[in-house]
Amino acid sequence: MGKIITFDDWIDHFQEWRKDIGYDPSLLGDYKFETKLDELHHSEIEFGDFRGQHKWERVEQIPNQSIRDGLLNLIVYQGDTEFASVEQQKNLLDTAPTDYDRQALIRVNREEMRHGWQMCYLLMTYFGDSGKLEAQKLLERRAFKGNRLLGSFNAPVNNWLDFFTYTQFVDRDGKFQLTMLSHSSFAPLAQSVTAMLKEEFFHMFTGNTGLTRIIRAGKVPTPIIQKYFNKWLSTAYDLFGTDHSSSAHWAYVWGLKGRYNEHEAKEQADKSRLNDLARNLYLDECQKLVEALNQYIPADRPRLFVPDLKFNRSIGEVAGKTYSVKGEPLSAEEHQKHLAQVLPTPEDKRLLDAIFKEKDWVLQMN
Amino acid sequence: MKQIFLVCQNVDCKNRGSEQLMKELERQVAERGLSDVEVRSYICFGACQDGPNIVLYPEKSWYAGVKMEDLKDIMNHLAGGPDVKRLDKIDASLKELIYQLLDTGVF
Repeated sequence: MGKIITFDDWIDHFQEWRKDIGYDPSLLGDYKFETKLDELHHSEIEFGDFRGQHKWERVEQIPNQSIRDGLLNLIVYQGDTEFASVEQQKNLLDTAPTDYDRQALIRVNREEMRHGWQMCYLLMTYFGDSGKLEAQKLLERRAFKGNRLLGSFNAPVNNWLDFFTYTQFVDRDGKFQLTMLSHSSFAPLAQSVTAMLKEEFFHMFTGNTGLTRIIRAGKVPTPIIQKYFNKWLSTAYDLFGTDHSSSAHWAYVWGLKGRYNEHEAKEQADKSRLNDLARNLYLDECQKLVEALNQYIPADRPRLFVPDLKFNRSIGEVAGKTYSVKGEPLSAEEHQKHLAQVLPTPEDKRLLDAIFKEKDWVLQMN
Repeated sequence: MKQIFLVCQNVDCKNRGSEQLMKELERQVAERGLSDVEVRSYICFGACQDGPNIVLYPEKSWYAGVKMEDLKDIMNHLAGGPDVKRLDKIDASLKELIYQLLDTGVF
C-alpha cells in the first residue's frame, strides 16, 4: 500500500488491514463505518491550567507543541487498543456457544473497529503528517506479533471464557479511559469518545452477562474462572499507567484527560497520583461486580475475588515484584510456583476444551 | 398479563440512583395494590451511559435516564396513560438485542 495522504487512502489501508487479519467483511453485513461526534459536556475547558477557556476546536489553537504531542499520544494509545482487540478476538467466531453470542461478538468487533476508525479520523484530520503516519502505524502493528502498545492487547484470547472475562474487565478499563477523555480540552476528542462510550457499554454487558451465564450453568470449575480473572485483571491494572506518572500529571494540567470522577470529586486533584486514583476506582468497581457474580455460586464452592493490585504487575512500583494474588510477598521460587497455580495452564485449557464440547457449560440463549 | 419492571442494578445505574428508584417503584406498586405488576432488579441492559435504565416487560417499554420525578409518568403509562417518549432514548438495534435476550427467559 502507498503512502496515506487523504482519509480515503486511510480507508483503503483499513480494508487491507481487515483482509490481512482475516476478518471476513461479509460478517458486518450492511454496517457502515462512520465518524460520530456527540455533544460536548461543556464548551469550556473543565479542569487544569486552562480551565474556563473555550475548548480547542483545532490543533492550531493549542498553545504549545508539548500539549499537541501529549494529545497525539493519547489518541494513538486509544486507537491502538481498538484495532488490537479485534485481532485478539476474531478467532472466536467459529466457536461461539450460541448464535446470540456470535452476533454479540460481531457487534463488539465492529464497534471496536469503528472506534479505531474514529481515532484515525482525528489523527488524519487534525495532526498533519505526523497524524497520518501514526494512523498508518495503527494498522501495521499486530496483537499476535506482540507489538501493540499495551500489554493486555498482546495477550492471547483463546476461548470464550477469555472473551467474557476480557469484555468484563479490559473493556471496563476502556470505559474508564474514555470517561477520563470525555471531558478533554480538545473538543473533537471529547465529542468522539462520548459517542464511543455509548457503544462500549454493550461490550461490558456482554462480559458481565456471559460470566453470569457460565457461573449459573455451574460446569466450569470456579478455580479455573478465578485464574482467568487473575490473568486479565492483573494486566488491566497496568493499563492505568505508572504510579507517579508525569504524563498523567501534564495531561491533567493541560485539561486533556481528567479524573474518572472529575465532576463528583470534592477534593483537589492529587496530580502525582492520578493513575493510582483511577486504578483504585476501577478496583472498587470490579470488586462490586465480582461480589454480584458470587451470588450465583453455590455456598459449598469457592468464591471469586479480585486479585491484589500488586499481583503480576508489569509496570509501576511493583513491576516484576513477587506478590501473590492476595498481595503477600513471596520469594522468587515461591512466586514461580504460585504463578503456575493461579494463572491458566495448558492443563486448564485441556479441561476447558473438554467442557466446551458440551453445550451446557454456558446457559444457552436460543 | 403480568408486567415486570426490570430495574438495572449494575454499577453505573446504581451510582445514578437506581437503588432508590427501585425502592420507590416498589412502594408505588404496593400502594396502588397492583398484584399483576412486579418490580425486579436486573443485571444490566448494556446502556449504562444512559442509565438508570428501567424496562417494562413484556410490554417492552424502555425508560432511560430515569429520575425520581419520572416515576409518576411511568406509573401513569402503566395505568393506560401515554408513552413516556422523552425517556425512550435507546438505539433501536440495542433495544432489539436486549428484548431478544429477555424473550429467551435466561435473564
